[in-house]
Amino acid sequence: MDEREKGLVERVLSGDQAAFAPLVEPYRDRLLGLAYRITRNAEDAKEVAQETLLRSFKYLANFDVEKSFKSWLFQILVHAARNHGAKRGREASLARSDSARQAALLNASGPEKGHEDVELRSKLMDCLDVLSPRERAVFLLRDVEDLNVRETAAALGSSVVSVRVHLSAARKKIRQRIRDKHPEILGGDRP
Amino acid sequence: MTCRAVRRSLPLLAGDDLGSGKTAKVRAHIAACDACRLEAATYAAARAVVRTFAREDRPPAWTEPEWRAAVRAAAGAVPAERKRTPVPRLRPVPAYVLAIALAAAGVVAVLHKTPHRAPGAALAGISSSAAELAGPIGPELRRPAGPHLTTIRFNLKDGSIKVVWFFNRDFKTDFYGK
Repeated sequence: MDEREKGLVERVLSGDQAAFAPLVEPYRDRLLGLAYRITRNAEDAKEVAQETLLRSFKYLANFDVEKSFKSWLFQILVHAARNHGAKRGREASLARSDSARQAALLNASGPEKGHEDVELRSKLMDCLDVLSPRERAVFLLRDVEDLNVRETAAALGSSVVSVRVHLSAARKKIRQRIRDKHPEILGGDRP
Repeated sequence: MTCRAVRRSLPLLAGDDLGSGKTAKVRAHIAACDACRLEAATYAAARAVVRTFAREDRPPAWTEPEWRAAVRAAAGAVPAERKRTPVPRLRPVPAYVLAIALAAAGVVAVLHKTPHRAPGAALAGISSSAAELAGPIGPELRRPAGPHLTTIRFNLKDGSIKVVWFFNRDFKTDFYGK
């Protein structure tokens, strides 16, 4: 954790609420992006990100300033997303049809975004669709958010071994998915 | 390493997530094995593709008012108190456990403090079969400081069994011990 963040945390803890905004500002888009990739729904993502901000302020006194603030924030987000998913029964939505997903993607992108964006997001979501919730969380934190394995384990409250197992399974599934659905990307070099 | 073992490690190798020792072994193998090298390349390519998708993909973003409102709402929350490490406390012992423990202690104390009775006197209070059991014990028992006697009778369908324990002064059953 850098000195700037440490200073901001101390200011918030001493009662300076205004210091909270600059503390979380650097993670503004990453929080919403990760929430969106976990929940796959723009509205849910905003609710989860909002809940993350709320909890991070509420429990900031429990944060260990020697550790990474980013990992801690992502840890809260993953928990919030899990709770949100359980509350809404979002797991059932994983099975929704391609057309419904396309509509949701278009909706999330907004009318001003091009068809290419939708196609790109559709491909990304297509890859993530084959993963279990746990694998998806591990994969997103490690391979998209660039946390290392230890930070990922800390964010998910699991062991490094468990993260490695899920990460390995996730990468296998994603490679297989790309081979099956987008063989041109890997050059079609099946063994 | 065998190709089979190496291929199990390839997904983690793609992100450099194997331990350093294993990474060196796997890299040494794929440097010499074309099939495994090709396989490793597909994992690396798949990972790179998804990372590119994620980097180029623009997920929904906050509008400025939304972000400000979210931060303001969060900062208006009441902070929770700092979590304290709980001090371990002894759980209260149920009264019946205490009563049993006291009773057991009392029985032991009584047995230990019971004044010595002559073996004959002690045996007079029990059945003849028990006396026979105790009879051939020998002169050791006849000493004034001889063993204490404890008996339990088990009533069975066809009769009863009396178990007799002999304890010396030290409350040990090895009454032949010197």
